[in-house]
Amino acid sequence: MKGASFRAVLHVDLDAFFVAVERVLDPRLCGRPVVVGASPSRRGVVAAASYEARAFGIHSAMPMAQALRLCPNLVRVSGTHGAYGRASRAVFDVLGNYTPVIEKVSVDEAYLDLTGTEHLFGRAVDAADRMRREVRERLRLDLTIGASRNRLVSKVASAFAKPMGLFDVQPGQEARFLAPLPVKALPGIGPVTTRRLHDLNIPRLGVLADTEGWFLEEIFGNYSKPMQRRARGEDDTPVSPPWERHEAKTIGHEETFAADTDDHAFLRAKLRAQLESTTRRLREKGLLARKLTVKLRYADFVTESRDATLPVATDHDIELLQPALELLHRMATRRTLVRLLGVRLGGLVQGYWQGGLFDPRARRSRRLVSVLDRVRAKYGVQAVRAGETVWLAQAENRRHGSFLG
Amino acid sequence: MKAWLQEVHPEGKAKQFEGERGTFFLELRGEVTDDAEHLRRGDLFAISADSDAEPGDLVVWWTGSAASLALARVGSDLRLSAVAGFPPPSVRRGGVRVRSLGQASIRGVVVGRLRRLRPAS
Repeated sequence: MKGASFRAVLHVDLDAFFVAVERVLDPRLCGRPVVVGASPSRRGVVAAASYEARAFGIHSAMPMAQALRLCPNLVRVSGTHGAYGRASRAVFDVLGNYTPVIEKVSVDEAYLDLTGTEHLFGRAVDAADRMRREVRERLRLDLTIGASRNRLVSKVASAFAKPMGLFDVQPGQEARFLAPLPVKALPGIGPVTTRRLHDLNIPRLGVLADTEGWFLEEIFGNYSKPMQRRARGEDDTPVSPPWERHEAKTIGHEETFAADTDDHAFLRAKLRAQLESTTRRLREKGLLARKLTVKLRYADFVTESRDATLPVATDHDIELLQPALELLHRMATRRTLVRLLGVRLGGLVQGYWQGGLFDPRARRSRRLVSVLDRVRAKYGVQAVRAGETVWLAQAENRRHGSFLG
Repeated sequence: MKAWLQEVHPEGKAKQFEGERGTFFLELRGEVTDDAEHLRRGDLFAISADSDAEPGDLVVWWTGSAASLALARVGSDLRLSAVAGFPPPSVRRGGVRVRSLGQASIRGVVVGRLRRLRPAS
């Protein structure tokens, strides 16, 4: 008998998430073609489009000016700081009532493993149905869900179900479900592989699944076997909740500049901004760093990096700033423009910063950091910035047309 | 009116499923009985036009009258059980066995079910 004791995996996707949140905040937007993104005068791009807007051919990453040309009645809204994060957390709180095994892929997408929850919620597909009704009733947001025995097939199934759908692939029918689909429908098969498969007269997943293994191996080498297994709907990748995921050995941030620079004030400000974001990630994960690395790449691609070991493990950007600036100062000696700057924190250990428990300045500093984290969690990363990095953010917004406007 | 199935052509990516390999969608209509299958009116079934069914499969079979298709579940003993208010397969000599029905009667295997919520008002 099929389907009796197999895994039950859901792929959950929030429909047009940013637009849906904006519609909760302003119901007048319902039923109208809406996009979220910065204005065309700031070279803004579409960050999210409603289904009504998509009917005009508008899609994510399209220049806003082009979107407005395609649909003159288009309603454009700038992003709302913090609202998406709050809505996402509320949705995940609901999902968490059904299973603790949730792998969050992004703010609006996740995998859930419901294996073993049948005695509580019935079949996975019935639990999924309740889940999306509950999210709609409580939060006025719509979920699309793909359900099957593995995450690969559930992912393809949810793409089928959009919008507001639940697609349940019957146990044992994974290969039949995938067979008529174009090869590009399978996650992991990109445009290059798609072109090569088409050249070999393999347009559909069923054909790929049935093709002789030796033939595919000649063309695709070691990649052919996993590709063929996936074309048959076979996938045993686990759903990994945060506590099971392999912890990063280092956390870092690096950036290639839009234009090479020799402006030391700019580099210092960049370094400070990178330390802010990297230490915030450390604090979110409850980690402390013992090792600091600063990396610099010049316009001629000569790359240098310097390390420093800290006397005490920390998650505090202010404590890291001085050693980081010293490393930068020691490196930036060539009379050549700089194209990339990065910081990396290593020697990570679990824990929270306790430095100077009896030092009033350290205590004040700690309180400041925790207040800043709370403000940023609520109002967005750019709500509070070090003075040195404010002009940097403004300059970059002007240059890139930030979607947050 | 009792439950019946009607061929439909859904929009969006689901369209990719219909095609040359004999795959199509049927929508469940009429009065649907709520049973262990929890099927509902409006459910769309993705069907692979294949007569090779196995125990545990949900299948569509031809009832023998005009263009009438019905849903049934293949049991571990290879018998078809009625679902969702469709008429049960006729029983002969202790029940109808899938393979004894002949390949002509099974018109396809359900590979998936799509259920959409209506837009919130």
